[in-house]
Amino acid sequence: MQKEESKIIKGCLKGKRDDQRALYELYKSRTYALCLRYAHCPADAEDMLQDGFIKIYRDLHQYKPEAPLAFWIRRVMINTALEHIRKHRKKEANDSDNMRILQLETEEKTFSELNAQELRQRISELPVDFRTVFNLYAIEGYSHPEIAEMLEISVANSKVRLNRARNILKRSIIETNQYYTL
Amino acid sequence: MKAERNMDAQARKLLHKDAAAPPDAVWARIEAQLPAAGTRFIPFFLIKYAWLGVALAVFTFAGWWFFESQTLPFRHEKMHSERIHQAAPSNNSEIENSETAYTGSEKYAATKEANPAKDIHASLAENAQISNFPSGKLVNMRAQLSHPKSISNIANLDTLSITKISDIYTNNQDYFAKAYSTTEHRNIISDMAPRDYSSLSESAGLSFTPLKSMQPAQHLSTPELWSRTEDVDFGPQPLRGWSIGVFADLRSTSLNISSAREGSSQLVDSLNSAEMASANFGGAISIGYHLKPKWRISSGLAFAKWCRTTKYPILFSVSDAYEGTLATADQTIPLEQNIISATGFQTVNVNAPSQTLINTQQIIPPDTSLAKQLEIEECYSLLQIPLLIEYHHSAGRFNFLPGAGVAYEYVLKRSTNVIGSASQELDGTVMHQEASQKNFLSFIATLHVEYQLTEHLSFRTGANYKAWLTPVYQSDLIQTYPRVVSVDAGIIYTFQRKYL
Repeated sequence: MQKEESKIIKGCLKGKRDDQRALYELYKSRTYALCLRYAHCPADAEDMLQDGFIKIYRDLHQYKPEAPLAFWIRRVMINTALEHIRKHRKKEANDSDNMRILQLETEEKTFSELNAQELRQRISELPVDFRTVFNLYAIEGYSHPEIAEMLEISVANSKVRLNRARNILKRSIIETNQYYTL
Repeated sequence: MKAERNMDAQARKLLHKDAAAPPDAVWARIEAQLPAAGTRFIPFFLIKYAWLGVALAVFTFAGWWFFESQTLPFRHEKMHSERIHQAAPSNNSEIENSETAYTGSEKYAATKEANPAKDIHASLAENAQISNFPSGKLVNMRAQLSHPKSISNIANLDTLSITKISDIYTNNQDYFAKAYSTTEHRNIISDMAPRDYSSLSESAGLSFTPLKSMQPAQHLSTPELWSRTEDVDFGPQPLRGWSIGVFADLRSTSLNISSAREGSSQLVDSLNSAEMASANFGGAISIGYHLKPKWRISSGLAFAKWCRTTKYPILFSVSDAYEGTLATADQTIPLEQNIISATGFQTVNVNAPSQTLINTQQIIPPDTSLAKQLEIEECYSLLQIPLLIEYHHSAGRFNFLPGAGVAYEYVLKRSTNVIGSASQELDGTVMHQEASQKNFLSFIATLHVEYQLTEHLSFRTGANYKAWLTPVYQSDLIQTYPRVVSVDAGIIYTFQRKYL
C-alpha cells in the first residue's frame, strides 16, 4: 500500500492524470465525509472537496513522506474547509442568537444511539460557528487554544461554542428519541 | 464534564473513519481545473510574485545604465586629454596668482617643466579672446535629492543647497569642465570636511550595486590635473563587477539620495578623490511571538561591527580648495542661480561675505604642498535592540513578511585611526568626535522572504531600510540623520508551526 501510494504521489508530481485520479479515488470518501461535517449542505461540501483536491495536487511537493499521507491530506482538507467557512460566512446565516439553548437536566444521552451518517447530519445542522468548533475539538482533537488561534477567537469563546454545540446536539438526539418513541 | 468527554469520544469514534461517496460530477469538476495532463503545477509564488522579478530586473538594468552613463565622459576625456589642454577655455579676464598658486607643488613644477606649453594657465591666457566657455551640453548633472531632516536648521536657513556639483561636457567633447559651487560660507564647509558620519549619511542604495559606484570617478577639474600630460596617472579607475552585501553600507556617489550637507561632503570627496570601502559584520538573535496567526512581534539583540576606510589620495587644505575660484566677469549671481545652471568655469567665491561672484576671473589653486596621502579607518561596535511587527503572507513553502518598527542603538565602541603621514588637521578640519552621539533611535522597515526547509527550520533573507530618528552626529551646524539600506540572511527555527 505504501509503495502504491508513493508511486501515485510521484505520478501526481509529474502531472499524470491517472495517478491524480487514483489519489482522488483513494481518499475521496474520507475527505468528503469530513467536508460534509464542516459544510452546511452537500453542495458546499462538494465545493470544499473540489478546492481541497486542487490544493492537494498543487502543494503535493510540500508533503514529506515521514508522516502518513492521510494525515497531510486531512490537514489540507480541514484548512480548506476553514477557508471556505471564512469566505462564505455571510452567506450562511448564523442563527445561533435565535437558537434556544436547552439546559438539559435529564439523564445524559449518548451518540451511541445514532449511526455515523445520522450524527454527521446532526452536526451539519449546527450553526456554522458551533459546528466548526465541535468538529475541530471533538472529532479532530485540537485543543481550545489551537482552535482559538485558527479561528481568531478567544479561548473562552471556543469553549462556549463547544458547549452550545454539545447542548444542541443533545437536544436534537432527545427530540429524535421522543419522535421515535411516539 | 466526564459525560461531555464521553460524548466527544463517542462522536470521535463514530466519525473517525466516517466515509461518504461524493457525486461523480466532483471529479469532472476537479479535472476541469487541473492543468493539462503531464504538465506540472507552476509554483504559486512564481505566478503571483513574477512582477517582483520583473521589477528587480528593470531596476538592475536602470542602475547599470545609470552608472555606465555616469562614467562614460571620463573615458572619453582620457582619450582626448591632449585636446583638453589646447581647447581649454578662458574668459577675457586676467589670471591672478597663477604663478604663485603652485609654488608648493613639486608635481606641478615637474609637470610644468616637462610640458611648459601645456600649462593650463598659459593656455587660458593665450585664448583670452574666448569670452565665455563655449556652449556646452550638460550631460552629466548629478542628481541630488534633499532631505530636510539631514541638515541642521542653521544650514537649512542659510541655504537649501550648500554645494552643488555638476559635470559639464561639451557637444563635441573637445573639452570638458566641472563646475563646483557652494553657497555656504567656509565655516560650514570646513565643518563638513571628510569625516566619519558624512559618508555614513550617504549610505543609501541597494545591496546589489556595481562596485564602481562605491568609488568616485576621477576628478580632473583640479588645477593640478588640468596641467597634466598623458603620463599623469589618473589614479585608480572605477572598480568593475558587482557586489553582494550583507548588512552592507553602500555609498552612492553618482546618485545622492541625501541631504545638501552630503553635497558638501561630496565636493570634498571630489576634490580629494576619496576612495571608500566599507564592510559591516554582525550577528543577531531575534525572538518572535505571534500575536495573531498572521501577525508577529519580534525583538532581540543585534551586534554589529562596522568598519570603513576612506582614502584621500590627494588632500588639499579645505580653505584653499574652496578658494579655488574661477568666475565670469562682472556680475552678481543670486545664490539660487548658481553654477548648476551655468555652462562654464564659474564658481562662487566662498570667501565673499555677500556670496556673489567675484568680478574678475581668478584662479587660486590649492596649495598642493599640503597634498598628502590620508587614509582614515573607522570602526564602530553597535548594539541594537529592534522592536518589529511583521505580517505573514504564505504562498506554499514561501512566506513573505513585510514589517516595520523601531530600533534602539547604542555605540559600544568607536575608533578612528588616521593612517599615513597626514594629521587630522591637515585639511583644516578637526574631527569632532565629541559630537558623535552614543544613543540612537531609528525607524526600520523590512521585507523578508522565508523558505521553509523543514517543519521547523526556514531560511530567511530580505532587505532592511533604516532611517535614524535621532541624529548620529550633532554639532552646532550639522545634524545627521543617515538612512541605510541593507540585506540580511539567516535561519529561523519555529518551535511550533501552525497550519491554517
